[in-house]
Amino acid sequence: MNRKYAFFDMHPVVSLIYFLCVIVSGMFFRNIVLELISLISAFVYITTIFDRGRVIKTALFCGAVIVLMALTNPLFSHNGVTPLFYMNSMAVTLESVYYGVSSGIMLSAVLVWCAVFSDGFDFEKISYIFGRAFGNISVVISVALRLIKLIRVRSRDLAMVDSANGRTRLKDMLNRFSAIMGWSFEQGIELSHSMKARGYGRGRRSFYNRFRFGASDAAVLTAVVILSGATIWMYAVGDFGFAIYPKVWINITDRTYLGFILYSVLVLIPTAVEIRDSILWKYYRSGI
Amino acid sequence: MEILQIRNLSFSYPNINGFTRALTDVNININEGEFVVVCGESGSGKSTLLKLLKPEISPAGKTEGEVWFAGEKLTSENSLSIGYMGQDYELSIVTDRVYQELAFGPENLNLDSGSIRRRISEISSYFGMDEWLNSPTDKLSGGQKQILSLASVLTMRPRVILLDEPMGSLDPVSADRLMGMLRRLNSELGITVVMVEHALEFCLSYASRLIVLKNGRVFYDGEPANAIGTVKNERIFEAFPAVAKLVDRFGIEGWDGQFTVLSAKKYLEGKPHRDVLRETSDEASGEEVLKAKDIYYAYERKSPFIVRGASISLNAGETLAVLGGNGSGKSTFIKTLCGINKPQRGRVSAQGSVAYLPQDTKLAFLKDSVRADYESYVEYMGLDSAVIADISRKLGIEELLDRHPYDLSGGQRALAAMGKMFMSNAKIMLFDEPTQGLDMGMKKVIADIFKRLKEEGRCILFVTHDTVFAQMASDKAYMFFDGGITEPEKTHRFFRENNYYTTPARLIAGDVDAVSVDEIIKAYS
Repeated sequence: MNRKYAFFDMHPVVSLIYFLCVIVSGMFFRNIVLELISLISAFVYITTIFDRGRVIKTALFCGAVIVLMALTNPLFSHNGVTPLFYMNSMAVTLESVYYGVSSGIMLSAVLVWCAVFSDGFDFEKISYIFGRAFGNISVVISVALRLIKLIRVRSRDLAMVDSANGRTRLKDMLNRFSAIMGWSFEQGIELSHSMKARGYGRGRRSFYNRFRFGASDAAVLTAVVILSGATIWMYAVGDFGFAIYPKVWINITDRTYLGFILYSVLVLIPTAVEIRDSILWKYYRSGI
Repeated sequence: MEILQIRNLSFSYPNINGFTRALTDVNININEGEFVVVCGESGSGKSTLLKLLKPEISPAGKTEGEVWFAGEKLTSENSLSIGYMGQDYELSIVTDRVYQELAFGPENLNLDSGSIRRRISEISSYFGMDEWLNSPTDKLSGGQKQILSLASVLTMRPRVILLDEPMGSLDPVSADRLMGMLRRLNSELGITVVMVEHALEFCLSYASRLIVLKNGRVFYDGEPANAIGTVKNERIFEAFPAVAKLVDRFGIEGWDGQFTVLSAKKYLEGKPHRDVLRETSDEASGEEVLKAKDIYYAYERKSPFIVRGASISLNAGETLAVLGGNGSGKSTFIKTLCGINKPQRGRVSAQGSVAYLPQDTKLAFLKDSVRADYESYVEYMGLDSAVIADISRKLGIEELLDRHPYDLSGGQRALAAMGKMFMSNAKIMLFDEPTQGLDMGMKKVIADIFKRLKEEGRCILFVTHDTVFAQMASDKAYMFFDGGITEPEKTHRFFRENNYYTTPARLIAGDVDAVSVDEIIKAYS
């Protein structure tokens, strides 16, 4: 198991559910404050796990996305009540610029979360989730991946031998292709022998995984479920009311500030886990 | 206790006209804890026999007789305690990660994660695999892949392990390591080992029993040491270790029955010998056909140079051997000579065209039959198609022409690939491990082909880790080491001066000036 990011050391179900909540809520919660909370927390998190160069690159990318959205949205949308100027007798409105900025923030927050997820949720975790859900399919996928790798190496080797002996015409390429087809069929049979010889296809098979669902997993999962449940409920009842068109409007109820805090806690969980881990290591190293 | 009983077993493969006999009336009893080596010429039925001991992968055909396993009739139900390792360890690995591969078998037994974990931890500790337990399987070295494929059979906790030519794709160092592991499994855990193998020089000293098959029948079955008298006139005797040939020539007196270099030395001790007069012929070699000066090659910009300042000069009418261990970069080196890899520094200049034959001869064929492949090659080279019949006659492969290249045995395919080298007009011919997986008889044939190619005025360079073949087939030898090659030396002198990396015959001969079994025999006659 890679010990890359502390948060991903948790049980894969926890990290999968967590990222589903954060990414989905990031996409559907159209409220500028929530969008900003999500984006800022995402950046706080990546400063703890990415190196500085990657953080700067990500920031530049997000900046570009926001600027691009802010510039292009007014070209297509002419809603809003505050015209800035007229172009081809169409109003370019302040609201449509806001809308572009808001969409850009939402989009870049979601992209950063997705990047973190795809980085930390490695193959083993994916196959664990798949293996749990679909059993045999995960074996087929694993074997298919292996065969694809073998075929890639094979194609490269064939092309190499051909080029060494001067055969580089299109016709040679077609010949190579048909040779690889025949070859991979043969490999498939060999692989299936190796599988059958180890008892594959006898009936029910289990799925080996190295993940244990411990107390801390349960605690974090509970927190994630409660926090996302609460914010979703608040969103549904209108505590996060927000609109840009025709005029910027934000609804503040008794519970809205509490909601912002709850959402901040949700999106800062991985950062907290990471910081706790690094403090632990610092003490460990200093021998306390 | 008898663990495997083969009773009157006969087997026939179906073909267009009915059936082809592969095995006839085979009777073998194998006791628990034996280490059995099965050998025989290609087509003797040895692989078929092995597969019939593992019902899940038994070939389709007509079977008579029975196989009993641990007192019961062998079925696909009780055969889980029989492990099978195929010829190509690359293809026995079916998953993407090492730990998944180890878990694969136990998962099929529907064990829970806790028990699987226990089995993996046990095997991983036994073979020292902890370091790379999480690696992707395609990033492993050849040696690691071979350990993995054995280990993933062992997580099934077999009582018997069947191995089909496990040495076929291994260099001598890996071959020794695999034999060491099998010996450990056999002597420490009592696992019965049955292996089909023709590389007897590696495995015979470990075997407690040798079975020789001939035309589908048991030709010899007994202790390896007693086999010499029975098989000495068979072609398979070529594959026996050097000491067997000495015993055959000078009598059994003084031999301890072991096949090691040490017992061969003891055997020769005190026997009278004379110096062999060596005719030193300084044949004038032809003009220079290929020259590489200070070439450097790395696979990627930031990766280290595999070839580092190597220089070589090849002359027409020479056969050169480049020797080196696995991973020394010798294959990369000849790929750089033939233009597959472009050197980042230095230059390779060749007079005339270069032909290259890869280690895996399947790569040399693109068509569905040898004939179709030859025809397309002849058309490409602009030759007369009569050359096909001519060359197949010369190589004795006429009856192979209409078969699929992949269906041929390793030796047959090597011959068919050599046919293409004869058709080629290349002045320079480069071979990567030309004898990988071939038996001794086939190696002699390849050495003879090299001689004929050389007589046509071509220059031949091959890389190999097979010292015996290099000694047979080359005029000069080099070591590839640390990115470059050593000074060329006459092959005899090369092996004579080396003390570790040399032929088994040289190790046996000691102070006597001999590097091959024939030379030892000459000296002691």
